[in-house]
Amino acid sequence: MTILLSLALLGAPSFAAPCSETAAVRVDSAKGLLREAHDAPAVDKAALVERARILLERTLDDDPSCRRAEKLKDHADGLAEDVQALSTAAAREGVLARAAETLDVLEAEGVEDPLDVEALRFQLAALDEVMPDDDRVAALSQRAAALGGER
Amino acid sequence: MTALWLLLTTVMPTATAQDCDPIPEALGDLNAIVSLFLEETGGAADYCPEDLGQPIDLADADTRAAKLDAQERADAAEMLLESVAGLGGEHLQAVANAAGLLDALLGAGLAAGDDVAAIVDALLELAEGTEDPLLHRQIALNLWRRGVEDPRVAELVEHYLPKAPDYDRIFPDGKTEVHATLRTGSDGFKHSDFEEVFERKGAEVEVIEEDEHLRITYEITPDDPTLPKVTWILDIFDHGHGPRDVFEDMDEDDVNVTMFADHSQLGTSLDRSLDNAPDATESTDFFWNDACKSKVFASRLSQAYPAGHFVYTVESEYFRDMPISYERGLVALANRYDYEEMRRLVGAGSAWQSKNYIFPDDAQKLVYQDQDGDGLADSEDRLYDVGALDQGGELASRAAHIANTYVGYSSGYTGWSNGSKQDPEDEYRPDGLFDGEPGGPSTRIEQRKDAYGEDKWFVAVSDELVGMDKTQRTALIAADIGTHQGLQQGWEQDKAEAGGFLAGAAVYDVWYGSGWSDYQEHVMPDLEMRKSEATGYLDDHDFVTSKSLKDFLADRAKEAAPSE
Repeated sequence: MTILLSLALLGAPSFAAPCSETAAVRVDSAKGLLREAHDAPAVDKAALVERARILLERTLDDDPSCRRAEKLKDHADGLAEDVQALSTAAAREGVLARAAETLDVLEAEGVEDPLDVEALRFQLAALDEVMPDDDRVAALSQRAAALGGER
Repeated sequence: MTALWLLLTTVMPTATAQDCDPIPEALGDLNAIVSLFLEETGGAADYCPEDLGQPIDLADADTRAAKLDAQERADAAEMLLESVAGLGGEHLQAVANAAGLLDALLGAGLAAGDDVAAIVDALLELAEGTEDPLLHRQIALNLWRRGVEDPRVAELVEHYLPKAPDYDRIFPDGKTEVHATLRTGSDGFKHSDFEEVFERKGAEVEVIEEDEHLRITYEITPDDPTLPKVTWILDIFDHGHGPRDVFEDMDEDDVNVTMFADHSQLGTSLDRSLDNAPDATESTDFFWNDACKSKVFASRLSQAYPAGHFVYTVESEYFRDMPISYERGLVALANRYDYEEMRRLVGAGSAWQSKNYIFPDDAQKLVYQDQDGDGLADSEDRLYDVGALDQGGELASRAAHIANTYVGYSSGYTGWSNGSKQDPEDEYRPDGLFDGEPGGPSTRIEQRKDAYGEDKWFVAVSDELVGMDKTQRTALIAADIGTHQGLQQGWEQDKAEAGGFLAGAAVYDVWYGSGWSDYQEHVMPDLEMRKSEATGYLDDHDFVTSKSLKDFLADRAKEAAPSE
């Protein structure tokens, strides 16, 4: 279920358990963050959902009987796990793409500063830690090794 | 007056050994209390009261405290407090010893299930009465370590493990347009993408001076509509090589949020800035130390700014990640997050940063700090050693953490090249100085559990190293740790020693320093090699690699082979 659809299903404000004025505006703001998360690039989604969760936790600390906050918090908690994986994967893809670009430049223009190669190798090693079975990382690591000797 | 006090002052003679100097008058009462501890186990004959000017043996005090009963412990606490009341600054070590004895009483009391209220009260009173910030911190951390649940203790500990940034400092007088600074170098400007990261978030980026000074104006509407908008004026400076001014805002009221985003150079890149650091021991500025493995700076920064809110990295930090984390940090501050919330936001959906930062509320930082400079990590250290810093004790903690850092960087040890992927980083903990022999071993490495219950190797350093050049002594310690780590990984002796030798050479590779011949003579007496030859094995500043080790060993084998 998309973030937007599930937000719509949460429906109109409930009148069963009234929220304080402050809680109400905070819940609206949290809802806005979740909507923003829906439209945001994958890499930003988890941070926006986390901000919504933190705001809702604070809202419930001040007004534990605010049912809208509680419902939205449950919803945001459920989303968090999915978007965490999505954003993390996108962040790592970003690092990978950038490493590939750097490698292209170093191969084409030659190595001026050995520290550039070192930084690239460390970054690829870090990627290998978190994406151990990714063939693209292995291939880039091999190309990086060829730039300035084996590790 | 309690029965114990009567016993102590009327029946029991003040314990003094035969050849002791006269008791300093001001320490008479404290001496009497300490004598009580000693008398219990017949140790008084070895004791001179002026020893109170030296750090006491806490393990001994623990043993003695355990032999008292609950009432005696409570009485002793009360008497200890009375005995140090009014002692001047010249007797600071004696007061620190009293705090240590109180901690021993507290530990014994908790273990026996006593009501420890009287001992806790005494410690809190001692903390409140002291003007020395390091003694105050020592007492606070001791109480925290004991897990005493008391709101007064929580308030005391909050000062050193703060749960949230000091927002009164960051937004003084409700100011909402606030300055922040980021200091980086040419690599930071080249690789970090500050413009892209902040412009994507709607910030305005202004180039004040090409490749030297960016100004980012970043307006943040907090998620909580009851909080005011915040406008950050973030100045990003290229300080070039060897920054001198990283801490210049610590005593300024205008800039209270700073980031250092550059190389750590095995803990030396902030040397000149620390030399020039303004005196601001009370500063609670928020300072993100975003160099690689910046934990290596923690000890000296906590000495310079005991109340500072520093964020450290555990592992490598990439230039690309720095602006991403800092942008999130500024959002967190605008939202008045506590550190747990900041940790969650910075790590949310990140590539790997979620575990890389030690925020100010995280007790893990105590592993890397040695505030009194006695060579013991604050996580292990229960006694404030007043004069240690002047006696070079800190070298053990600095060197152990530097060694942890290069071992973590060295593919020869981590096994990146052969896929074995060891994680030897942070296996070593500092263990102070020992009484060494000239030309004798530089270190003594023993395994035991650390304060968090994990098996670690504790590295004590020979006091013979104290007077040496910084590079030489650090290289010697590095060589021992490198050799030790190689043996732990099952390497043959010659390979382990070669790894150790190159590990020490790696320090020379990164730092400027003298003493190469002595270093080489001490570590590999039969070797004659110029510094440049040794560091030549460390290709691309990559520390100890499989290749550098292989080349080194092959060349050594060639030299050893009989000539035809």
